[in-house]
Formats: sequence, C-alpha cells, structure tokens
Amino acid sequence: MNFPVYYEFFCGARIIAGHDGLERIPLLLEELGVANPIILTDKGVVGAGLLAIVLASLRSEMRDVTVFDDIPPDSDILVVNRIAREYKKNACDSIIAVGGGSVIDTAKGVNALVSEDESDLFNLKGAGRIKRQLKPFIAMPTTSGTGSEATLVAVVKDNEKKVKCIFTSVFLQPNIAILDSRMTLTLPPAVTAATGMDALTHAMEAYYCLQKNPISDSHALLAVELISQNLLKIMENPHDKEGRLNLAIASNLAGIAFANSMVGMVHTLGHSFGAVCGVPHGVCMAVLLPYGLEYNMHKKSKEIGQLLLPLVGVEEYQKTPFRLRGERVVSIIREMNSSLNKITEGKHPLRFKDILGRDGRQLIREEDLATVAKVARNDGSIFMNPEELNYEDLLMVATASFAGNPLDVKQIKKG
Amino acid sequence: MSNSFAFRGYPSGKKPFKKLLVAAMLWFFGRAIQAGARVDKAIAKEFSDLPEGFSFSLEVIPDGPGMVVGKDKKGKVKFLGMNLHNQEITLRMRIKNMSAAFLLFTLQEGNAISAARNRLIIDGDIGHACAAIRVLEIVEVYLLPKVLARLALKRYPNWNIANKIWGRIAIYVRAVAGV
Amino acid sequence: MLVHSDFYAPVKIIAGEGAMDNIAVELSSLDSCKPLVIAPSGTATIIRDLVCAFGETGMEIGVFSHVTGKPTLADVKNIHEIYTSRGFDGIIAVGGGKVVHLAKIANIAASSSPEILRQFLADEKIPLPQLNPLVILSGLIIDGYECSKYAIFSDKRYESPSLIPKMVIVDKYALSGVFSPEVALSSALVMICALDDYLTEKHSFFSRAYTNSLFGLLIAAVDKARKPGKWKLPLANSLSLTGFLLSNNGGGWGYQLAQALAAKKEKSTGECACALLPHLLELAFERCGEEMGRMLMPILDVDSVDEVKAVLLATYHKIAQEAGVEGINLSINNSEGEEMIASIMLEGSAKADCSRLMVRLSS
Repeated sequence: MNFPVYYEFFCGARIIAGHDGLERIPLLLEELGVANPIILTDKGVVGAGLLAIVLASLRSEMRDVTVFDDIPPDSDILVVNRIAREYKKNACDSIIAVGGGSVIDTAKGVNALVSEDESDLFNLKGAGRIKRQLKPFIAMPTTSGTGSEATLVAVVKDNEKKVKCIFTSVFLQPNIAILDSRMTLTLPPAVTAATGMDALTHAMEAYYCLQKNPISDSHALLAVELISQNLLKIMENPHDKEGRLNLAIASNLAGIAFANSMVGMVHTLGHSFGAVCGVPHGVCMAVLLPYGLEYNMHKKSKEIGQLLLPLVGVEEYQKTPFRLRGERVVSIIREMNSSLNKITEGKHPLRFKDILGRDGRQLIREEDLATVAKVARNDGSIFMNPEELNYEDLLMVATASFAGNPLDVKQIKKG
Repeated sequence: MSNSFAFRGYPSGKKPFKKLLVAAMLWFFGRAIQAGARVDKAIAKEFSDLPEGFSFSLEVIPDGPGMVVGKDKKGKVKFLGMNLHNQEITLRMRIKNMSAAFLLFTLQEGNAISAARNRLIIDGDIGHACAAIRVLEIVEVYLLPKVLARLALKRYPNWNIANKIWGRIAIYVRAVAGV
Repeated sequence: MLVHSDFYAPVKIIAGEGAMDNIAVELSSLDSCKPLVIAPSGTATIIRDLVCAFGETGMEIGVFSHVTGKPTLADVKNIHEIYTSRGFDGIIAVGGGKVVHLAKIANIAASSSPEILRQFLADEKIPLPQLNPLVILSGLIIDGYECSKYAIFSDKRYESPSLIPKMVIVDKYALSGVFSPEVALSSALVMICALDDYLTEKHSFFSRAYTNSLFGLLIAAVDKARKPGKWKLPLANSLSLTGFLLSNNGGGWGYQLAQALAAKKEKSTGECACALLPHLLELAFERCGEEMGRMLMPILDVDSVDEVKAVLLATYHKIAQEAGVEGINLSINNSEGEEMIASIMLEGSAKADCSRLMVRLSS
C-alpha cells in the first residue's frame, strides 16, 4: 500500500441501510431530540409515490408535518430563502430531505441558514465559515448516483446573478443518511443507468486521481464491485430489491470516496457539458468515463489496472496480463455503456452527438465544443486530475467524446 | 499533585525564519506576476478574461504575510502590495499555515500537490482561482530553472527556448525594478 | 453480507506530513480557539512541537501533563477547574489509552457540567449535550477505544456517541519511539479487530471498507517495522480506524475473547490477541478466504489470493516476534474454555467458531 504524504478523511453521517430503513425515522427523530421536521422534496419524488411512503413511516401524530415539495432541478438561493421562511413560520426543529442531488444540496443550504443567525446565506459562503453543529438533518437519497448525502459541500446558485456559491464545512453533512431500497425501486431505466454510471465514475476517479488515500481507496473498490455486480442486473430486473439496495450502498460508498479524494477530468468536462449544453450530469459521466481513464492511463496504469479486479473477479483478473489490465477496464466500461444503451433502447447515449433535447433536436452542436473546453478550464476538479489539461487537451477529449471515437493515444501529451 | 505543577500555559510558537522567507517569496511573486502580465501573452489573456476590478491574494492563515495582485480600472495588472486589510480582495487563496507555505515556496510541494494535500483554502469563485493558479504556474516556468519548475508542475510546457529565456530576463528585470 | 446496517464513525482523520501544523485551522473550524492539552508525562518534546504548530495564531495553549495512573475523579476535577476558570474551549489529548479515557470523561464535566457527568456516570443512557471538540493527537500505544464511542473509567466501560472525538491527528512528530513489544501488542489488537469484521455476520459494507483499509495500513506498517520512520504513520492510522470498528460492533468475538482471556489469565489483551491470531486467521481463510483475498489484493498490491494469505500470516508472525510472544500458550482447559464462551454471550455461527477455537487452544 502506498501511504500518501498527507491526507484527510471524514464521513460524519451515520449511515443506515436496509429494506426498511425508513421505519427507523421515528426512533431516530426521538434520539435526535426533535419532533417537528420539515420534509423537503420535489414533484418527481411526490409523483413516484415516495413521499407517501416516507409519511407513512412517521408516527401518526407527525403525519401532518410541514412538507415543501417544490424544489426545482435548478434550485437556487430564492428557493432556499422560501423554505427557510416556511421552516421558521412552522417552528420546525429539523430537516428531512427526500430526493436527488438538488434536493439534498438545497436542504444543506436551508440548514445553514436556519441554524446560523444569518439573514443572507451568502455571508456563510466559502470554506469553514460554518463552525457549529447545525439542526438535525436526515437525508434520503432517491437516486443511486450523486452521493451528495456523503459530501461536505453545498452548491447554491443565484440564478438572477448567474453565480454559483460553494459552501464547505463538516457540519453541512447530514447527521443521518438513510438508504432504503424502496426509494430507488421505481427509478426509470435511463435514470438508473445514468446515476449508476455517475456513482461508478465517482469511485473510479477517487481511486486514480491525486487525492487518493488508503481509506477512500477501499470505499472506492467496494463501490466498483457492487456497481459491476448489480447495475446491469437491475436494468434487466428493476424490481430486484436486493440489487437496488446494493446499488444505493455503492453510490454512498462512492460518495464517501470522492468526498475525500475528489474527482478529475471526467467531472471537469462533465460539469462543462452540463453548464453549456444542459446535458444531465449522470449522462455526461457515463459518456466521459472511458475517456478519463484513457487520458490518464500513462500516469496511472497501475491504479486503473487494479480496478479490473472488482469489475471481473479474481480469475479473469489473474488471466489478464498486467500491462493489458488498464485497457481492459476501458473496454469494460464501454461494453457496460453499450449494454445500457441497448436495454434503454438508446436512451442511455454512447456519445454526445446522439443526445437529444426535449424538442427532439440534437442537444449539442459541434460548434459548442470550443465553449465546453473553455468553460472546463475553470472547473476546480481540473487540479486533481493526474495529467495536465489545457484548452487543446480538453477540446481534443470533448471532440472525441462527441463523435464517440476512442482517444488517439499519440495525441495525449505526457507530462 | 498540585494544579500549578501539572498545568502550564504557553503562547503559540512563532516561526520567524519561515515567515521571513515566505514574505520575501510572496513579495517577489507579486512583482513577477505584474511583470509577467506585461511580457507574456497567456498571462495577459488570463487577466483580460477576469472581471473588471478583479484582485486576488495569496496569503498565509491567520494573518499573513500575503500578497495582492489585481487589475486596475484600465485593466492594467498591478502588484497591490502586502497589505491584506485595507483593500477589497475578490479572491483569497489562503494557505493553512506557515509550514505549508514554506513547503510551497521552497518547491517541496508543487501547486497541484499542495492543493491535493488540502494546504489551500479558496475563498471566492473557483473559476477565478483556476485562472489565478494558471498564472502562477506560467510565472513559475519563467522564474525557475526547468529542473525546479518540473517539480511544481504536472506537465512542463513545450515552449520555444529563445522566447522563454527572453521572457525570463524581462520578467526578472521588471520584477526587480517593479515595473 | 449484511445489507441492513447502521454505521457511524464521525471522526475527521488528518494524517501525514504537516498534519500537526493544521491544528489551529482545524480547531478554529470547530469553533475552538483556546485548547487545553492533556498529556501523559514524558511528552515534553511532543508538547513543544504541538505548541510550535500553533505558529502565528497567537492562541494560548494550556497543558495539563503528568497524567500517570488510571484516570481518577480527582484528575477530572482538576481538569474541570482549569478548563472553566481559564476559559478553554476544546481539548487535545496526546497519545492513547488512559489519557484519552480521561480526556473523554473530563470533557463531559468541562464542556457541560460536573452534575451532568455525575448523572452520566450513574446512568450512561442519559443523553449528553453537544460537547466542545475533543481532538486526539495519536500515539503508537493504544487500546483501540480512542476513536470509539467508549471511555473506560473506574474499570467500567461507558458509551455515548458524544464521547467520539471530533478529530484525530496523525503526525510523525507525535509518534516517538521504536517498534517496541508494546507497539507490537497494539498491532495485534488492530489485527484481531480487522479479522473480527470478516468473522462476524454482523458486518456491513461500511465496516468492511474500513476493515480493508485497516489491513492495508497495518500490513504496510508491520512490513517496515525495522525501517526507522517508515512504519509509524500507517500504524498510527490503523490504530485510529480500530476505534471506528469497535464503535460499531462493540468489539467482535475475537476481540471480546482476547479481553476475557486477559482478565482470566492475568495477561494483557494484546498478548491474548497474539495467542488467538493464528487460529483466527486460519478460521477466516476457511470461512471467507476468497473474499478476503479479492478485497485485499489491490490494497496489498499482490496478484493472488494465496499471496494475500501469505502476507497476513507473515504479518502475524512478525507481530508476535516483535512482541516476544511467538508460540505463546495460554494453557486453557475445557471448562475454562466453556466459561469464556459463556461470558461473551455468542450466538449462531460465531458460537460454533468460538467453540472450535477453544478446543484447539486447549489441545
């Protein structure tokens, strides 16, 4: 084991996983000494009937708790302020967030605002401004991908001013994360595919990028194994509760890994494709992951090669010669994407060119790629990528992933 | 055992040598960035893409030393001195402690490695921080011999040697002269 | 593997080069700006480095040193008095074992009130309020409870999530000494805790992740035990993670058995752990050798399950050798064996495993 010169590791959330995790909520609220939570969620979650399941798990006297179910996918400071007002008006004492990344991030913002004596959330932006325990906060992820229940970061946008504020503090993490198989059971196939690949990307980038450490490594390896064993299985049989729970656990393990090890260029470019063209995050991750592996292979062939073991098991790993293991990982990811593409009847794209917008037209045009590369230069994840990335490098990868061509190894400049 | 025997209070231990060296390096880097913006097109371009009135600091927690570089109203890049208090700073890049700053400025840790080891706290827009760090890296290539700069960078750029040497001389002369 | 799980280990780990230098920033992120250091005697050099690490902050650091025997109420009283009269707002415990137990108990009185501590000592079920931060500057000799929710005081084990320290700092400047027999015995405890996770049915994916890291760190450390400076950081890291596992399983049956044997045979838990380890390893290989191999191959950077087993066995031998207890025999007779099994109240496969092990130990 390589012991890094320096590392930090933290996972402050208590993690409860099970098919009946929700039934623990009443007892957990009691342990936390609270009785009047506000439930934060979005219309999608309500529509899928998940809020009803959560409410049913509460004690009868709590069934009329305050619910805010209108968190939009591009939540911002105005939403946070509105919820904080609701929280105060109803004299709430804790927060339960049921949803994906946007809901959980919004809940983190709300928690900072209602717990600290601040009128403007943006006064708390930056690193380490929040120094005290916030209100009790339980998170229930409804997608198996973002891992935001495991991170110390909240991103809150100001859509009017078009700025994105980042808040970092150990206290932003939820006190408790509940992973219950029922929460992801009804996830549509394309979303399951994209969020599963999102989690796989978190785990893999955490394993080969610059901030890797002995504890994030073992979380990442376990996550990769669980995803490779369960993702395709669930796609074939969406009602497999065991598989769903394993995937939710994998997503959380991957979240813990990347919250402590950070991510690299798959996220650098992925965030940019999201910001410039509006491509969903998980889809970006799925398309770009093989490119991230290829681009960094010359610097991290050993680490990437080791990822083959949790993907294929001992026997096949041993049969594959050392120097071919990394390449095999890349081809397996491409094969996974192809299988997901077939199962979702093309909804899980293999290249950016094929992604269609709501109007049915091609979402990304070739001329957008220059902007994507330019914006990507200013994404923080660029620092943790093992190999340097300048504008030309980013454009090269964006172009290849647009067309769906593997990277030309000769064009990768080696530092 | 009495309390007085078991208990002692200590003031925190200061590190004057490290502080002096870090302050000197910060001062020189600040002047070199100002010079670099006049000499190197890539640095000038980075600054021109940053918003009007932008300034950034590189400073050591809790109270310096630190240097501030910014754009004036005409867009000219200026070293704004070492005073962290009496000016508005758009982006603050704060090094967690003097020893970490010492490691960074004696090139025992490169920029990326320093970031990977959580030595820096960024207060401000991450995109601006990316630009500021790119500027620092270009300046390092000019200021340092290749063997040293390679330690600080993930990939040493493949520049025309003549340009690099002329740029290096120009930046050194301007940084020393403060123009 | 158990998918219904509940795992909690909210300790921030800060480890490696310059870890101690970050202490002021880290304390301030926990809203503490005047820490009281609680240290055993003979740590003057470490305290000097620690005080130095506060650098230019101008913070005032108090040091309560000369903690020697088992923590007593008098120690707690002294600390409470110093803490409140001088306005401290956090505690840094230096090292492991007794000092940390004392710091945990004293922190209850210091950051809430002596009355609450009295109530807690009478009934540990009473919920504790939010306490001020407790930070551990890790040492090399531990009992495994440091980063856990437990504190041992007056020979009783108390538990509360509030007793979990906020942070553990692992820095080479705080890790003095050689790979002594005592250090080797601490390593034996770590190894038994890690094996417990593979032997118990109660583990979760989350405890498994920490267990695998723990094996990696421990093996890396023991492998370099003769190389000065190379083994300390990974070892001290593995010691911290042990507390995470103990917090969540209360000590697996191997650890509990080692404790029970230690009490019975008047030996240290570490020595008893050494006596149990070869048998537990064999049992683990039988039970889940393939899984252990698969999980640990990339972490140990080896290419086969058999190599993983060989590395684990070699690690045990080296620990026992360094501790000077290789081939230790606890000479347990049948009735003692049964008494042990009964005392740790095992069920199901663990009970069967434990019985088999006792038969082997007594033969």
